[in-house]
Amino acid sequence: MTTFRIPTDNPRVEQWKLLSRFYYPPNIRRYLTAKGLSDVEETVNYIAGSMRQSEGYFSAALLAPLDIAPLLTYYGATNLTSGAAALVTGARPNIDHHGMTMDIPAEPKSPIADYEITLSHRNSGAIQSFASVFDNIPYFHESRAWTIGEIFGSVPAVVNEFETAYPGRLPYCVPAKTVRDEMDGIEYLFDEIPMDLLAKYPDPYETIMSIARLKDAYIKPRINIPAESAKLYPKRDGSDIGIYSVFGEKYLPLTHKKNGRAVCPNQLVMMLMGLFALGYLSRYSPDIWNPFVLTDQSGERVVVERFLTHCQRFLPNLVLNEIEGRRIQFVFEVERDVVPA
Amino acid sequence: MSIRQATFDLCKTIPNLPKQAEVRAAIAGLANKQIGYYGERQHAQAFGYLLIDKQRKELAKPPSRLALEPLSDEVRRTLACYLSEVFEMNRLCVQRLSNACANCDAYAVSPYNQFVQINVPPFKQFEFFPANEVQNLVNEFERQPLLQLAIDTSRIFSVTFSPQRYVDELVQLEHAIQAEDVGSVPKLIKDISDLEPLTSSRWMQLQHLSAVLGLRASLGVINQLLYSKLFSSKLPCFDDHNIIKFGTYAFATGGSKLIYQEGGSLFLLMPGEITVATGVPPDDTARYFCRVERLHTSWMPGQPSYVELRTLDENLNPYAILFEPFIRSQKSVANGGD
Repeated sequence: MTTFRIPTDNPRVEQWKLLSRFYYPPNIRRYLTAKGLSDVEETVNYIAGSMRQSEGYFSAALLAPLDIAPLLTYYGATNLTSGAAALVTGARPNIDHHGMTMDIPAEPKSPIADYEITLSHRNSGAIQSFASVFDNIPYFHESRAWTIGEIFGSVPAVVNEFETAYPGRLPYCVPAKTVRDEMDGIEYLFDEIPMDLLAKYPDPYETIMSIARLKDAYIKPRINIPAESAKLYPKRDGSDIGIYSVFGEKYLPLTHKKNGRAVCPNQLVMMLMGLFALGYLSRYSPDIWNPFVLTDQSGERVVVERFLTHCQRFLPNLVLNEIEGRRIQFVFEVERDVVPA
Repeated sequence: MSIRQATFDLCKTIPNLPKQAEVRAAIAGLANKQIGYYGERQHAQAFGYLLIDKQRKELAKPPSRLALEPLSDEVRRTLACYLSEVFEMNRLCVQRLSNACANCDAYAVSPYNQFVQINVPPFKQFEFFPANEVQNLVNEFERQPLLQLAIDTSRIFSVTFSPQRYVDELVQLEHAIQAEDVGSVPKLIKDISDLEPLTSSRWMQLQHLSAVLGLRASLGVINQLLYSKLFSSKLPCFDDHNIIKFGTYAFATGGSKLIYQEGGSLFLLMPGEITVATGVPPDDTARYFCRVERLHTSWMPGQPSYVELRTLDENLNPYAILFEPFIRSQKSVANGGD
């Protein structure tokens, strides 16, 4: 995706202004027609209603305490995503279930990160429907079980809190800085991952090789140990496989090993899975959720809050990116007068 | 068939020849020795090791002060016998030229004539190479138009040029080419090509020298390919798996510049080596054979390195595109003039 920068001093408001265009049937019809999709009235109304409701849920979630904020955020996220899925496909998604379940064991788990969701309802589940529209994840449904910790560790904005709250656990994404260099008059770009970061993993080279869709983006990596960094050189006509933070920082996602296969859902799907898990706990297990919210002594609450606030800010941005077909980055830039020498 | 194909056919026989295994073992045995290191860096295949061996006493003196262990008698003998056959193969390839132009002999056209000469046993028969495939190569070499051009244009030099003068002129021309990067046409060539009429003596001299230089360079590439086959079944390849950024391709010279990732078959690449390049201009669907002209490398896997390549034509001549105006003019004259 190309990046489109929008200057603003309030990204949250700005992104909802852009999304609110699709509360109005004429705008929806124009969008569908431009894409060559049919603008059946039922679908148009579905889109308008879903998008409007989603803003309501997100607004409520912002003001709600942690006791119920995850559930409200999840409702907002699913409404927004299903409306967007209908918009980009021209058809209401076939959904009659979340597509995920959660078995709560008799003995409460600690930390919260160890609770897991299980994928279900392959043909009518919401998460499967969204994944098929907004991502291309081989073996996603077969991956079955995901822990909350795996989900937290896959979201760049949460990585710092993840590493602090869960010592010994390793994130599922690594930061990569794009560097421009020159050699004998030929300019070239590469993505650089610091070696001291890779050194945390059992095998730095295998960690690089586990980057999702690595072969689509880079020529075969060769790293020299010792070295200050691992350099990844983009392939000619290669894809951009990076996931980007709110501030445009690039991360490379690592695949998860599920039943012997490498699986890597994108950020949007991960956030939806994480919100479902937290929402489920808060709604159906107040005996677990209430003590956690009131009396957490481990510091894990910081991770949960960070994940939640990040979803509230960034999930709508990701959906907007899918609708627009480009990465929308909200920036705060100040115009400066040019001072003559 | 082309010279390239005939050379490849000869190369295919090498892994199965016991005498070639002796050469491979002799050179492999030098891998961890200083004489092996310096011999390799002459970029002259097996000749380089014998050259350094011959110059040991000179190299021991100031300023180099290199104390090099000599080659063993067995290694020296094996390499010398191998080279004897290489020299004979080269001589046969240009025999028709030498017959037509006595001073343009095998020494004048030898790819090794810029070095101090070494003694090899007199040639008796082919043992390191199969005679059949050698003859096929010689036949193809004799058939190429460049050889005929060298013969036809030799009149300009036949009386006044000694073999050593030939060597001096060829080496000077090659140095002028190599002093520029692969994308540039040397001023010496450009001035004559752009300003001199086809019938001027400078034009005709350069035309003849370019033909002989092309033949000499082809022989050098043949020798390099035969030598490389001792150690590897495949040529190093520049492709989408290791090219970081393609720089430029010069249509006037056939020269390419690019940045690649050090490692794999490209690790420890040397000037003079022959490589394959795919996904590069002028046609990124084609496969090109190229000679490595210049390298800036870190020698560290994963790091970027810079290389300049010169495309070989089907007769393994790296200067075919550079001297194309001179070759084309001969065809034009042969066809009745422009």
